[in-house]
Formats: sequence, structure tokens, C-alpha cells
Amino acid sequence: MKLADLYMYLRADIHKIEQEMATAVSNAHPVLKDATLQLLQAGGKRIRPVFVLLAGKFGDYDIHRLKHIGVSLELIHMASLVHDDVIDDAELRRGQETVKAKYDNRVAMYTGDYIFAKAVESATFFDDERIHQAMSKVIHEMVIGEIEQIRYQYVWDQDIKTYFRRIKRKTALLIAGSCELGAMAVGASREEQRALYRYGYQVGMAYQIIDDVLDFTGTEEELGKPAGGDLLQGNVTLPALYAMHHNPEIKAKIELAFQGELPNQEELTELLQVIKESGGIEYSKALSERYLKKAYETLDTLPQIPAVKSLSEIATYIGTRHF
Amino acid sequence: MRRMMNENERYDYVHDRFLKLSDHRYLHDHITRVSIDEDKTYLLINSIQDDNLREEEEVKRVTAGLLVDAALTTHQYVPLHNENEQREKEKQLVVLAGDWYSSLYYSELSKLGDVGLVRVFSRSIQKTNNAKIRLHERGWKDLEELEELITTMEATLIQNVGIYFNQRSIADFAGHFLTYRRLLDLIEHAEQDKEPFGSARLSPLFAIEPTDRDRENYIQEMISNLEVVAANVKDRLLASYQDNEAALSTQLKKRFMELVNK
Repeated sequence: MKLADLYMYLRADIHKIEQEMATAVSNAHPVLKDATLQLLQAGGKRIRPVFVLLAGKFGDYDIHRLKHIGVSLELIHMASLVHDDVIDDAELRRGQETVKAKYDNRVAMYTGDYIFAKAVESATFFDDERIHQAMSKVIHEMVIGEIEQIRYQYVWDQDIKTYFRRIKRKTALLIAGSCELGAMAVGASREEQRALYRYGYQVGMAYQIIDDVLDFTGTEEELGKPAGGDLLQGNVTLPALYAMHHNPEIKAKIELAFQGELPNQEELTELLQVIKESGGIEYSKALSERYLKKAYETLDTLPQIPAVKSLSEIATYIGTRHF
Repeated sequence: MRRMMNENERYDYVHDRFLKLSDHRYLHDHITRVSIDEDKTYLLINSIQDDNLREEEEVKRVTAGLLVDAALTTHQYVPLHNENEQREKEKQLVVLAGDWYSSLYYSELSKLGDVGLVRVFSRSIQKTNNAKIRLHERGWKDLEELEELITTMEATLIQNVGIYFNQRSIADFAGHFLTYRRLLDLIEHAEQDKEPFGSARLSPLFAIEPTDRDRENYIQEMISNLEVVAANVKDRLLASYQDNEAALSTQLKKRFMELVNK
């Protein structure tokens, strides 16, 4: 089953959010418009708007209010992707040329800044300063997470806490924020807002851990990019951290492979293999499961409305996804 | 409302707050920290005056404006294309430093609860980037449009802030002042021919290497165009100064004199 099948009944409202995103850039310069619409049309899971809408079911559900939060969060995500492609020097995203590849780095910077400003403007639909504080916290933490990622690139002896702190900031807090902000926008109780935030955080952590696992276990076809990209870019993720921590020989092998020039494909494949055989994948999956278990427990504390079932199914999907 | 801080004390407060808020040890250990634009600081100090706000709330808004400016300026320093692997980390951190400043301005304004100003800032950033793309893509039809784009790129934020706080004289003066200042800077760097195409100092106007004619002719033609525009803008700046002199502070007058006597 595809993720989108789990929230098929939200399709019309997600479409409204997508339309609003397209409208948001309709007056932009053609290059900005083209760059943004290309990203928009490339699709994606729209996981953040989905969480916003589902959280919105805990209050006085109103798509005309929720869409501003959904648009804002998805545009923030999109702006970060455009800038990430400059950071990673990426040529392709979801099979399409990136903005920086199609134009240049500077156009990508202007595009990302433009989209980010649109995202913030969309949030100004709300006068409630708590919404802006929550939104700005998400953005701020996300940037710190990105900086941390660069800081710890190719640092093979970093501890596991650094990894968790990084994925929390980079991924989990944006999902937590999506849930919290969706609930805030429709006047759900503070208790529900907090519980949804916790659920989002737990699911977000599990999501990123599985994403990191898939970079070792997925095929190029499934991932849309060659496996092992994280390791090659020096992003030290949980399976590799586990392997290096439990087997100093693996650590020495990795360090040797990255001395001087980057490893070639054959060397990379061999490194991926030893990490997979180290138990790092199983360990990471178990940790992801632990986060998901907490997410299910958090859902139990919420009013048992139909949205809980969807949130639970999404959590299950995240734990078992293959791409 | 009686103000406790004079203009220079406000500048010092804003300067310190900017440094404190934007402090990030790792970032600033690895890349050059963007310097605070003094002219823009004084323009913002004079734009953000509202009897309904406490003095501290005003200067915090000034700081937020400078954070936006720092974000936009920092991103000018991202190289057009990737140069070499040694500078890869620097490029990555310059991208993130700009994003860091952006996140800080929003955070600062959300703590102040000024949603109206958030809207003004975000619309100004959109307009600025739209103009940057047009300049980058050489999307102007005549010199009038070129001037308009440079004004938009340089002054939109401060003009819009001035209008929002009903300081229209400052907004008018800021437009001409910042455009003229930028034109002089562009001409100076292009004339020296030290700056490579795509450099931050010349971007986004000299961003694309000309392929259809030789470089020297292109630069000369562009300098001549900029000089014509600069002469026109200087006339308008002088007129704006005369019209708005009563509203300008000591520092703004001093900076105006320095600029027009360059």
C-alpha cells in the first residue's frame, strides 16, 4: 500500500493546499515561477500538510484556516530543498534537474529565499503570536540541524547523541510542528496540541532513522539516487555509527577509505556491505520501532476520533516503508 | 513619547543585539561574518518610530530588519558555480548562514508579536528577490527600468518599513540614497576590473559572463549605463534631501554629505 492511500479521503484538501502553493508564486518572475512549479509538480509525499490536516480534526476543522499552515510548512520544506541542492551540489531531485543545475547557485539562493518569504507570508494569515513562535522555532531548529550536519560531516567518531540531536532538528521537529500547528490553527486544546506535537516528534524520529537505513538497503530504483549517498557525503547516520562503535575494524576501514580521495563505487559497495552485516540495520530498525511504540502510546491519550486511526496507520507505514 | 536613547546609543544597542542574536561560534569560525550596514542601520532607526511602542521594542524591530538584510547580503556571497573542493564547506556554510539570519528575524518578530511587520518583511524579501532575478537575467528594457530594479533590490525593505511606520520622508530619502550608493559601488568595482564576473560585489548585475561580445566592451557599456543612471539618481537624491531635510537625523545628514561628496 502506498502512503497516499492511507489518507485518500484528505485528497481534496491536499489539492487545495497544492493549488494555493501554485497561486502563491503566480506573480513571480518566470524563472522563480518555473523553478517553484517544477518542484511542486515533482510531487512528494506531502507528509507535512497531511499531518496538519489530521491534527486539524482535533479542533474545529476548517480547511480555509488549515491551508495557510499547510502551505507555509510545505513551502518551508521546499525552500530548504532548493538550498540543500546547492549545499549538496545535487544535479537531480526526484528525477528532475535541480534549480541550481538548471540555472546556477545564485538563482537557487534567490528562489529559496523567495519561497521562504512566501511561506512566512502565508502564516501571517494568523494574528496569534503563538503560531508564529511555534513556526519560527521549527525553522530555527531546522537551520541549526543543517549546520550541525555540515559540522559533523566526515567526523567518524561522533557520539550517538549528536546524531539524535541532529535528526531531531533536521526532520522530527518539522513534523512535530506540523501536528502542533494544525491543532493550534483550529483551536484544539493545549493538551491535544502537546500530545500531537509529541506524536509528531516520535514519528519524525522514526521516519528519519528509516530514511537513513534505506540509504544502505534501498536500490537505486527505489531511492531515486544511488545507495550509500549519505556515507559518501560524510553524513554519518545510525547504521554506520552502530557498526563503527561495535567494531573498531569497521571504523578503521571507513577512515582509511575516506583518507584522501573519496572511495570509488567498488569500495563504497564493500563498506555498505560490512555496515549491513554489522547489525547496524537491525539496531536502527529496533530504535525506530521504539519511537513508533511511543507514538502509538501518545495516540492513546488523544480523543479516539477517526483521525487517530490514520495517524496510527501512517506511523505503521513509516516503520515498514521500503522507499 | 520621550526617548531615553539618542541616535548613536540606539545604534550601539542594535549593534550589540545583532551580534548577540546572530552569534554562532561554528559558523563564524569558518566563514567571514557579514558586517552590519551602518547606513541601513541609521535609516531603519529613523524609519521605526512609533509612539505606541516602547523604545526597546523599536530597536528590537530595527535589529530584525538588519537580520533580514544580513540574510540577503550573505546569500550574495554564494559562488555562482562550484569553484573547487577546498571551498566546498565554505559555500555550504554561507548558504546556511543566510538561512540562519532569516530564521532569526522571524523568531525576533514572533517574540514581539508584530505580525504586521512580519508581513511587511516577507513581502519585501519577495520583491527584492524578484528584482535580483530580473537583474541576474538581464531583464530590463531601458535605463529607467534598470534604475527601478536597483532601487527595488537595495531599498525595498527600508522603504516598506518606513511606509508601515508612517515615516514617508525617510522612505523616500532611503530609496534614492541606497540606489545612488549602490551605483557608485558597482561603478567603482567594475572600473577597477578586479572583481570577477559573478562576484558578490558585482552581483547580480554582472552575474553572467557575456558570450556574445567581448568582455571589455560589455563592461564599458555597462559602466556608461550605470553612470547615466547614477547622474539621474543623484539629482533625485539632492531633491529628496531638500524636501525631507527636516525629517532627517544628524547621522543621516552626515551620511548624505559624505555620499554626495564622493
